[in-house]
Amino acid sequence: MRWLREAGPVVGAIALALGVGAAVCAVAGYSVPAVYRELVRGAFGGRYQLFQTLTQATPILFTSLSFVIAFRCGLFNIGAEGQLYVGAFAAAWAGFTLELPPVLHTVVCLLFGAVAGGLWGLVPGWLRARRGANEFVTTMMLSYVAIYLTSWLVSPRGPYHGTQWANQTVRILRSAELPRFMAGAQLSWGIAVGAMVAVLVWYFIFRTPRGYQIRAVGQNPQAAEYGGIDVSGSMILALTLAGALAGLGGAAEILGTHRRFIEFFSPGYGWDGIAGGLIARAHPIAAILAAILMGALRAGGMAIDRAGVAPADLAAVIQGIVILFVVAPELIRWLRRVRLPRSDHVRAER
Amino acid sequence: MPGVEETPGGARRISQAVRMEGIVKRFPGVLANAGIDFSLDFGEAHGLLGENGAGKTVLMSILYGLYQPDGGRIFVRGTPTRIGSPAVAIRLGIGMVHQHFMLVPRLTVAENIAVGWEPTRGPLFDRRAMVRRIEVLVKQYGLEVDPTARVEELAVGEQQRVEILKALYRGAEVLILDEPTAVLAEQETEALFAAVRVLKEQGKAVVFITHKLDEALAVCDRITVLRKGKNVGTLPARQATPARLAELMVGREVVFQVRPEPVESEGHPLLAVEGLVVTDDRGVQAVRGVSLVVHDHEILGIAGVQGNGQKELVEAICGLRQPQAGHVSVGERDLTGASPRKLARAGLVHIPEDRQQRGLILPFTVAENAVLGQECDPRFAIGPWAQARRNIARYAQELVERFSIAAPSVRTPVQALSGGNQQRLILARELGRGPRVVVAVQPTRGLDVAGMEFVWNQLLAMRRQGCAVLLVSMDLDEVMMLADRVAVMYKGAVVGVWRREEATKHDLGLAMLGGKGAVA
Amino acid sequence: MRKGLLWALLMVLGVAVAFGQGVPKIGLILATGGLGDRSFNDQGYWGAERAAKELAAKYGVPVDQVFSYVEPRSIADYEAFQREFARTGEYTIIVCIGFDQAPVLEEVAPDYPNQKFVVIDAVAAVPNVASVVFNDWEEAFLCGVVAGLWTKTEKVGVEGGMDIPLIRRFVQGFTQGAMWANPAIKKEDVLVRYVGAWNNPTLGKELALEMYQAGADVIYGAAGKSHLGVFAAAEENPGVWWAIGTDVDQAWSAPEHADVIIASGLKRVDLAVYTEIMKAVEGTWAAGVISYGMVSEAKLGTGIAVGSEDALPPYVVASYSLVDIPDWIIAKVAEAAQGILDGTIVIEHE
Repeated sequence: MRWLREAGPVVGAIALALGVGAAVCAVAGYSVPAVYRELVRGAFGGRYQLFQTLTQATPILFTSLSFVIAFRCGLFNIGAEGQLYVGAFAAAWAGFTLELPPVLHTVVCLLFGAVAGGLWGLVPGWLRARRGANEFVTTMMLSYVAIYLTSWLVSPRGPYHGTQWANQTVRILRSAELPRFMAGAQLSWGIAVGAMVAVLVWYFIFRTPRGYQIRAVGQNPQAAEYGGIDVSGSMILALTLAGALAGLGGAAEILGTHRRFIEFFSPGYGWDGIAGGLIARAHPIAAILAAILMGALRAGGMAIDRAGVAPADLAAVIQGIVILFVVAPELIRWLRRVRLPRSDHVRAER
Repeated sequence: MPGVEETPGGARRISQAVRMEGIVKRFPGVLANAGIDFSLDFGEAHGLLGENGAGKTVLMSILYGLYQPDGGRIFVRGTPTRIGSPAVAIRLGIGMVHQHFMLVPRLTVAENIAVGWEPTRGPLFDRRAMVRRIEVLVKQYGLEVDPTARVEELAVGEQQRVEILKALYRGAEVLILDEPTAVLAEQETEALFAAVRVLKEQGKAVVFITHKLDEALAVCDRITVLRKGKNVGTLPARQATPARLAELMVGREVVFQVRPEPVESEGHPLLAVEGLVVTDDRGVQAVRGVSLVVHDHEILGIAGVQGNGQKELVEAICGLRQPQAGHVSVGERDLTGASPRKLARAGLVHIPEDRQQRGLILPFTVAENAVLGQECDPRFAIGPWAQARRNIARYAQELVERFSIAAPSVRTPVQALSGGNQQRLILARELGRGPRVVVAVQPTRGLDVAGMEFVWNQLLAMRRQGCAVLLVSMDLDEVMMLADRVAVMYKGAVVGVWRREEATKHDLGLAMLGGKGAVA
Repeated sequence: MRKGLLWALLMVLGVAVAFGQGVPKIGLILATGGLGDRSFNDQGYWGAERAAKELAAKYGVPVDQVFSYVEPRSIADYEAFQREFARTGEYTIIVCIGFDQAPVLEEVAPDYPNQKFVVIDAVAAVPNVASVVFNDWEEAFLCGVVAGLWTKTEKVGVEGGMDIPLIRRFVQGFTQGAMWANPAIKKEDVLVRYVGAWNNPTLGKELALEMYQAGADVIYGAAGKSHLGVFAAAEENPGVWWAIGTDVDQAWSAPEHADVIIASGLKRVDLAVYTEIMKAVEGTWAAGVISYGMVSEAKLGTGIAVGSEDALPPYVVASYSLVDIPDWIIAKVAEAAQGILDGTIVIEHE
């Protein structure tokens, strides 16, 4: 029943946001029924549309989980976007360089992605734990380093400029691909990997001593320290795992969807992960639903664009409103928790 | 004129400020107020006494509009009233000072007081008028505080005065003080009592929520005792005795004193501190070369006015702060600067001063908190990849039963427990580890009589079993009652150690204030 | 009687169905820059829009019934949009603007063997894709003619994006044009620099300054965004140093430099898009590599914008340049264009 109480406000916020989105649509002079019909149809109208929604949801699921695991440790991983990029590149590299039998090759590529992303999380984790550098800033800055570093790697002057025209690597070998569910749709087994990982993350956070320590640090670092928990170590571990999850997402995106690393390939999956993680109230299983919501908005947005009922920008506006409405209360709550540790004066007496 | 009101019937002095009849308030699974009658007159200080969880704060939160009652009526100045929100309460002249202050640290006293009610001149904020009005209030009630100082620079007692001024500034005639002394030092408490007396003389009605009998007796005219959501008696303070009140509160005769039975120490030094030097958060030396030894079967009390280095000393002993110099040994082993986990393995446990910030993780369940510090023990974890959840739950259940912790289930978040039960859980967890050395800091602060007694008996039980107990407390009576020896800390140093038989309140008090000490 | 009515009804239905199917539909997927780039995307859009308007008028339906377009926000969106259009089976032809769509299209197009695709400026080797390429050397030759006639130092320069066959063809065309127009210019009087990147105007400016200081007073830029640096360099010595743009009239697309840009080579993406659409509608469309240029089957697609009036449309057309170009130069350019068309001038290229 607890999940119902938690889900209630989220559903309400989504409904409210769609209402405001409709108002914006109407004011901008577009047909509200047409836009929403396309949005819903484009996201859930049939098998292809559903697959498209899940395709878009896949990387967001990984970045949401990345956000969740850091958040559980009281840390704000803003850098999932960059971790996604390094993971994507590492996986692509392993995909076109190594020669391995099919399934093994895919697994190795995914691991490459996770390790690369993990390194990208380890550095801010270490800086935070040992030097007190705010992970807000470091993850974000490293994110830009990652995005532009990978861009350079595939630029004409970089070492992995694979095709004459676009800044991208050569195609990965067939053996490294994450297979697709059916011909003609982009959806790959990446979504299944994501769902599995979500369960693993849930298990890790709620059922292992390490997860316990991470949560303890997140809820009350002073008590964790008192309990002899290695607070620094937990922070480093949490951010490393966060990076690894985002990196894994990048890898899945490359192996399943694009089959090569393309510069600037992500339309902001890392940022969507922040929204996804907050919508999910930092719960790994709820993150699956949150990612599907975000994916549906993206897929629906593309359909609105294609059908020509409204420009793509309007679809983006509706997406933005939904995210804002659902996330803002949670974000405010989090910011307040940071600044005012406790003010529930009546609690003790109850 | 406070307390006076014109009625259609002619000029008549209405002395009753508030009357609450049959107030009922339910929370999920708890009947917090079970039909309480309560009345409050102008010109009186009314003590609201009761154990933790008796329903005091809930009753007053209803009066302040924070909660809506599920039953009962409220009369303000004789008129039936619905108090829908604190804004309504403020308009009716009811003000409340919470245990946790609601002040903005970066703003000045005047700004905090006037926030939302700023005097304006045209479109501008009239800072001078504001400061003037506050100075008048300060003088009228003798609540000494500088209106231009920033709140973050003030001591706790001063912050509390700011809260009271804030309520008065908004025109409060009825003032609710929720456990106002819980955060105060001795002298500040005296100053608060003086302020309450002035308020009363000026015709205000003051509700004084507390669970300390002597405080209620010292400052109140009438005392109402609540027990389990019911009013079990309202009596004039003059007719009340501590014993009578305590009986009302807990419903049985309370043993005020526990008496340590004589036990013979075998003379093994279980905790030894040698020449410890510790700096505080600002880098100032807070502990300047302290040496102490606690033996088996012994309680060493550390007395002293708060802020004389006790906190830093304890943190350095317990692995929460690296000492600059000196040694800490547990048993035979030098464990200077060791982690809390290592210390715990060596048999040292710590009952921390701040139980909500240090001792517990409030959103975690009872079971989760019960294994804090032991979550990786083979009993509770199967390698690093799985918790032994059934063992954890069983262990927590065992502690709950053994230490009579009132918790609906081991899956309840500890933030839902009362303060006394939270402390029981900490004691259960730490003493349940079978320690050789116990470091307990202010273990009874904020607890009700039954809770105190429980803690004392637990500490004495540890002593009986052969533990070395280091008891740090600001409560001199507590230290003198329990400790075999008492050390007094002053300005970061131990200025004297007394055997209990030789210690007098006079000598200790003198030492605490920097006077000469004797060494035992 | 009854039977007759039924037949009539069936015929009406049949006509209606035939009519409904008869209305062609155009799908346009722009490159990631989106509309308003005053280059590739805008041109592609104009071409498709022109075709759409004509078709809408012909069939008496609103334009939005025959024309849909999308603006992908990243390369990663290409596949989803290509499939989104192709899946419906409604589109007579799907036009993909931008070379970076080609690698994705090579994977998508085989899934929809009956769908006609056009990709602009790149080759996708799939049986149902028409790959449109341009005779770049022709525009380069005409620019060389202008440069050769305009120079006072008898020294000109060309700045290429990268040292690759495509760009070398620009250099070859330009060099031959300059030498054809001005016998005083030898091959070594045409300075050549390669930026090594398409999006580095800073380096582009450095290299241009180097050439200007070496004595070249007209520089032709063929380096994408990098050669915006050529214009900026020319601005340092206005009235002495000049520049020539590529692919669109850059006096229009970069109006702040209209005082130093004397001419621009033209790559008429709009004409190519329009032509391919009409071919598909009329049933003359064929897959494969299709060249556009003066010497090609279409006999259009390249040209130059110079002077204030169209001298030989669509090959020599007016420019937004603020520089006053004497008529004799325009006349010579038109002569060169005529020579290329009738085969008296043959441009050698790789």
